[in-house]
Amino acid sequence: MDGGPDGITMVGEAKSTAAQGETLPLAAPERGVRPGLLAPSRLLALARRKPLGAAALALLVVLWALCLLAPVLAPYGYDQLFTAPRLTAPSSAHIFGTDESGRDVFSRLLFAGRLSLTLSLATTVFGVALAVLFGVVSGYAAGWFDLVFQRITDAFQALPILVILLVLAALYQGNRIVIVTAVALLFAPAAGRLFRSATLALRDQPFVEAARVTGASPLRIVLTHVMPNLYPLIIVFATAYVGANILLLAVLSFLGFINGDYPDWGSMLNLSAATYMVSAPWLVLAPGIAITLAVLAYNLLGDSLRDILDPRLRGS
Amino acid sequence: MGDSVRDLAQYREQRLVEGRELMRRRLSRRATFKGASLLALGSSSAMAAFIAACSGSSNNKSAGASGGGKGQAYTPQTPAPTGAPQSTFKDTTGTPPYKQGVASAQVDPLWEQFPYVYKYNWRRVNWDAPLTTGGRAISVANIPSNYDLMKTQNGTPASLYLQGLWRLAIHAGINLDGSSIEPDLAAKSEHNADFSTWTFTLQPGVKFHDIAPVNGRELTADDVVYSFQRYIDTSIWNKGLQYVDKITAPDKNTVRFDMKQPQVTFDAITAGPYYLVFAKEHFDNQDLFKSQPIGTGAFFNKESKYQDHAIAMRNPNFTQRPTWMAEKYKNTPMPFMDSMTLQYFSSDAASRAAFIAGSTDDYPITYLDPAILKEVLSGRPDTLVTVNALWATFPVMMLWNYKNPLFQDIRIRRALSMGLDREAVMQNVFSGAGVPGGGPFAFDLMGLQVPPALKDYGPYYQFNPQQAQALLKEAGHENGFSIQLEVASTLQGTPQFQSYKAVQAQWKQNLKVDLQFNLVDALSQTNDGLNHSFQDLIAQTTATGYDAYSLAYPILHSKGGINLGQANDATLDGLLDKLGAATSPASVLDLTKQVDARIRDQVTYLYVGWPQACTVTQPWLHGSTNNLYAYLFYYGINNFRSVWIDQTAPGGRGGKPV
Amino acid sequence: MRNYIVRRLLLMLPTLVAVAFLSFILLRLVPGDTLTAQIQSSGLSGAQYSPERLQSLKKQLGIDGSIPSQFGRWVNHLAHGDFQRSFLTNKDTLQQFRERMNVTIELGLLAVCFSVLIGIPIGAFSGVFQDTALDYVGRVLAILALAVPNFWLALLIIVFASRWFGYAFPRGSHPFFSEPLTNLQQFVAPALVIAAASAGLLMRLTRTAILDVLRQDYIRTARAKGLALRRIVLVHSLKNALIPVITVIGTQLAVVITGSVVVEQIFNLRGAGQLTLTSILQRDYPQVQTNVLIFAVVLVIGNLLTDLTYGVVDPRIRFA
Repeated sequence: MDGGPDGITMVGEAKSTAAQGETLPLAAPERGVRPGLLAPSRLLALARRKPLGAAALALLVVLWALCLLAPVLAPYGYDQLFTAPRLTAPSSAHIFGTDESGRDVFSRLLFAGRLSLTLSLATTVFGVALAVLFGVVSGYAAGWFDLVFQRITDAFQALPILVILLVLAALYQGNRIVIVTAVALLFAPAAGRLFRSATLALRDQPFVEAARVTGASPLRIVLTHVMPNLYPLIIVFATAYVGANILLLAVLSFLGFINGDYPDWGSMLNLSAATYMVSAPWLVLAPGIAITLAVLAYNLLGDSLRDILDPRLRGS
Repeated sequence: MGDSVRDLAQYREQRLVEGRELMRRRLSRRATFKGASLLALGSSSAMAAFIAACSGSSNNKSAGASGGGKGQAYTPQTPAPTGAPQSTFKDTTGTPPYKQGVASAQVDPLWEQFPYVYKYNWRRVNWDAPLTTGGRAISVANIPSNYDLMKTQNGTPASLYLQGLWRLAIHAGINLDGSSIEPDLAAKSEHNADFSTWTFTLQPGVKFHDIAPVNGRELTADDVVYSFQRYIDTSIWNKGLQYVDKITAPDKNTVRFDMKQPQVTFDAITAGPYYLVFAKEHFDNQDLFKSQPIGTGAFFNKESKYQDHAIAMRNPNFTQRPTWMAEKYKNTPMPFMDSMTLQYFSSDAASRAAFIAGSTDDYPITYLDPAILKEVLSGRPDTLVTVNALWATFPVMMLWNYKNPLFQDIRIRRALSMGLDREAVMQNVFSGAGVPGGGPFAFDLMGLQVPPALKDYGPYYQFNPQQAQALLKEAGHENGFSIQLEVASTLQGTPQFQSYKAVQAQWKQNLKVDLQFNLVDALSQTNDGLNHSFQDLIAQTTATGYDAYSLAYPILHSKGGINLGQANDATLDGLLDKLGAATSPASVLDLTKQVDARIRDQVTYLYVGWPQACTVTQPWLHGSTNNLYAYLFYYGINNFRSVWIDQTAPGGRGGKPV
Repeated sequence: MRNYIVRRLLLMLPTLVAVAFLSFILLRLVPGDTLTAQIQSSGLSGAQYSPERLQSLKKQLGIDGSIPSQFGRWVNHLAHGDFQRSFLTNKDTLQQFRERMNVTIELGLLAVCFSVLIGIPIGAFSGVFQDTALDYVGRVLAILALAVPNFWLALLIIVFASRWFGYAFPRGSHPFFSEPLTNLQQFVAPALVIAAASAGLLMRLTRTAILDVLRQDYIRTARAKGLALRRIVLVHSLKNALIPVITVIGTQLAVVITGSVVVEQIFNLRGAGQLTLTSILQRDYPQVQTNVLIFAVVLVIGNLLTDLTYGVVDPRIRFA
């Protein structure tokens, strides 16, 4: 393979090695030479560079697939009572046993995964997007805008979430979208402050100053100079929080804020843990392991993504 | 920095080369490691997928399918019918052997059909344990937020400190399968022929606690009159006294109630924890009244912190003696213990853990969940357990909203009742620790020895899906309908909630009725109930009281305070009014049965069954159990006066033999 | 700098007013009131319950009148230093809060200490020895710490402490300065549980920050000059790496205060978070208002301190 075992090539060799490895151009490349972002060759190279991340991605794909295919894969319904006596231990008929109403835990795990995975992802994406938007703008603009904006965020953070959640739960009867928004708004201020502080540190860097001097518009500066340096931070934060959000939704149901028959991993864990931890440990282990696997996968993936996207290695 | 752009590019190029070199070196060294981890993760994912695929294909995939193979729904075993009186007891509880119980105790074979009640019967408690005095017990309790007796009634820690005219007694010597109320402040009570005048003669020499401003003075009839008058005028709980016309104190030791209409069971009404006697000077200081209880009870309150703990100390002036005990103990002053700590736990798990570790003396298992009992017994094999026959006042039930035309149609109510296999619910959810049926009255109030069998409940309580479907069809709902049950979200995970889920499954399977759960926070649920603003059905527990009228009126009469669904049955109202104005115990009994028959016939509300109530205590705590109506540490809390703690209690908390 | 601080403190006032007013309105939007709560806590078993009496009592409670006028009254009381009495216990709300505050403060401080003491060193080692076994162990630990639900951990500790060791956690109030050992027995386990997630986050952030810093030029210069790795890390990199970390610590404090409710509940501690939760659930308006106000003050001041700390740690940041 040209260019060394990791498949990285230098400019100038691009033409001859385009099919095999990725190129990392320093100057604007000729059109048609560079393989597409999602070309298999490029992805394979990425996978080889970051095997842990690739494995994590594979695990995530498996988890998502298992859960999205729940209606096909699950041997029983998620609310099918007394398929066996309540609290039976794992057996060949019920690989994770049954819960306190005789429902098959494995089936519930699969169906619950859909809710947990989708909700936590939605919450994180929404929250991080908000945080980046407001944090970066606030940090870059600085001055009065920043001051006022931060006070608004302060007010937001200061309002006890319990009050908000109770009101939302009462008024919107556990509407999932409302809960997602509320949880996203919950951690968005904290994340926003984080990104803001990072932006504050960056805006006074010489290269940013240089860009400003050369007449780039603030938007361009933010997008091409500031943001890439924030990607590692954002990725780490986002992947850490996806996992946290699965658990946060569990805490909400612990405090009585989530409605509905439909299970999610957190509420499965919460309800069983308190009462049946000793008498039926499989009730606790099943969702616990599922959550841990998901969080593990997200975080490992995030680490690898961060490493890939770090501009100092990419040289963009 | 600050060089020209070309220098910048060159610099970057250099950095890139270095970075790649670094990585290449690391990669070759760590290749094996990464390869191994990749393999591990990959194979475990593959395995997971494989297992999923296997179990998915080898079982019946469609939800709700029955017939053949592993996807078949589980068929519950209904309780075996009772055989001849000499049939040997078969322990189907699955719990570890009961170490503490006195195995040779004579328990009526009637109870053999209720395995938990038989195995953990109150008669197996060693009531002849030697008496000790002194010591300090630690009991689990709900600490009230305030002691304003006009508003808070709150599980009765107040009953430790104050007394009513009568009380609920839970101790040996009293038939614990029954109501067991006895006089407390009153030495005796008398009534005239038609029960329209009640005269209570007070115990002489009863003194208040030595706390300012009452300072230990003697109780007089005027205090009783004053207290009751305050309850009538200002208490939220005054409905029980709604027929009291006049209260007078003919002399220092006598209180006379003149009623507007006959009240056969007025003594039972005064036995409830709502009408405890206090002093006028105490009430006049409202701040004090709300924060510091002062009464004549066996204990006085030393301190009380909401959601934390309270300390009850022995009242040295308490004059009652344990007249039911053996001769040598008959004159021992009560309370037996020096003090009690009432401990609040914010989580059930912490409470259970503390009990298993031996640092508290009791643990409430309200609805008996056999899995929890197993856990406690396996963690602490010498635990004392008593399971009650049934808990009279807390059946599993749902109330329908009569504003919904669906429930105004008696065919639909009956259909919903007959489409419900109550035996299956009690067997599956409670593993047999429950009795199907249910109603507002304890069986002893209906003159029975044991809870009635389901077949005695009449045709509309029997499981008859065909007839139910026929009724639905006749009412025009052949394809079922969708209704909503409002439940407190904090109820999730409890056996009560699991019973509702079982009802949901039954209705879907048998009647195509879709019962949806609307989970709201507990206070919203209460509020919706009291304002009758819930949609279709609401979960409910029922009234507390020791007489039939107190139990039935509030929930079933159209003017009842907790008739949340606003049931309006003129016949039933009439029967209840007659019950309230009955003039003899015989007619009370007769009318009670008639009320019961009526609600079974009309399916006024949906009763599912009666779970069993369980008390667990440490082996060093004696005199503690529960009965049909209350737990010792809940409504029966005044019975801690006759509880004693022996020298084997840890931490030096035990008492000394008498 | 001084102007900055003064400006921030002045801006605190409208923030507080906004927060107080918002929570005022929000709480009254939900059905239910303390009287119903008290009936409910009696198990709704009032055979003798009288609906008419309840209605008249509600009027006496003073929850009538338009919301702005109620709010105005509350502000008026506040201006006179009167935090009013709780509807539930009839005790002064500020005093009740103060009693619970010690628990939350101690829990929060311990949790932050543990998360910093555990998270930052492991994260630093992880970053410095990138891609070694130590790094992998550290990363897995961090992720496990983030993955485990804190209430599960709490329950695990409580349940198995009692079953395997017959150990029950001490109850009641044991101030640290008079009974340090008992106090620590009560607080170490819950603090560790709360700290676990924060520690995981800090580990990862520190690692990222260290990695970033280690690539900088001045680090290469230092290595070229022959400085020992430890000196490099401690003197040159850690301070710069700490900027995002400090932000997180600041935010974790807020998270700990409200988020520790669950752990407090399981370990049976009387904290301010639990007080807020029960007050909300039982619609004890005065208590909720007091709690909200004090939390808001603490949070705003905390944010201010965090921002000021940046200025100390990172000389590049200037205060406009």
